[in-house]
Amino acid sequence: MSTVKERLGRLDRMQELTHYDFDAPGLKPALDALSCEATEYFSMPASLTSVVLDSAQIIAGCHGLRNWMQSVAGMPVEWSFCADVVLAAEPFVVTDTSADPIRREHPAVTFEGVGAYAGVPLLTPSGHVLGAFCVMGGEARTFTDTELTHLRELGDEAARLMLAERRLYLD
Amino acid sequence: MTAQPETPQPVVTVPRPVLPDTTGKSGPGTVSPGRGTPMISESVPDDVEAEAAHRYGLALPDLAEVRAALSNVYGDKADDLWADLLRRCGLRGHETSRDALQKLLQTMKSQDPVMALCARALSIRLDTYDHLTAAYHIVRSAS
Repeated sequence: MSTVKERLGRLDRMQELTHYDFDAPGLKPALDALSCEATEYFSMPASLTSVVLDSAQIIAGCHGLRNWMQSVAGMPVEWSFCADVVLAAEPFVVTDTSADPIRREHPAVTFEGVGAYAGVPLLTPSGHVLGAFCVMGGEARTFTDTELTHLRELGDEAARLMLAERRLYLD
Repeated sequence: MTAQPETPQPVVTVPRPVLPDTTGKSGPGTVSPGRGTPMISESVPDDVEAEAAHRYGLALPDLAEVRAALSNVYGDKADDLWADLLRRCGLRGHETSRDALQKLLQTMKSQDPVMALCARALSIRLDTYDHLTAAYHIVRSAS
């Protein structure tokens, strides 16, 4: 059975990731603005756009993150809920991490106090999942269908912004 | 519990530190050092670094982790790529120094784009390790 890192590190997915310039000027401010909108809409303290690599994720844009996550602009996949979104290739929601027998021992929960998370996949035209657009907060909460629809819309916009930075010369 | 589909309701209010420090003050359990904390892993005593690594479930990335990352991504081709990388870096693969790791990661970043992404992921893991061990040292020293 494949490990998480093997599944995330599949060569065809990694090759797809190389086609995008996640450090393109202007991309981060645009993604930061999307995250800012998300935190206001959901009344949650933090939101980010991730690009999930084989053993760590890049934080391509964010709002409300503090300290080391912002400084490093990433985190190991062991700390990443977005990796679950990528592996599932569909929206992933944890309404109460303390009540989730698997997630309550997650380092993002025990050390950073994540109480609730909702993330949607960033899909490429070829069907690969680049990463996730998500919101998170310290307290448990539910997410309505309307909210999840809006999260998908924000995720689609994040994916569009990334697609605009696709490196055509590599094709 | 009464369902209110259009109004988000907390399921349970759990007293715990909120993810971002929106007040400008550190909450209980907060150990993050903040932007600008120097990555001075060398200044963290070995025993404190080991405590921090255990606490956070992290290990200082080493050459074996790099080799494993290549294997995860490239499968059977990893052996040849690893041998080529070591040759380019003038390493034998048994080195344990941070300099050797940095040299390897730097060389990977100049190779094919997939290998560069692997190196970027490993660099994030290294930076995380440095930040969290430094933060742990600060908190431990202050207590």
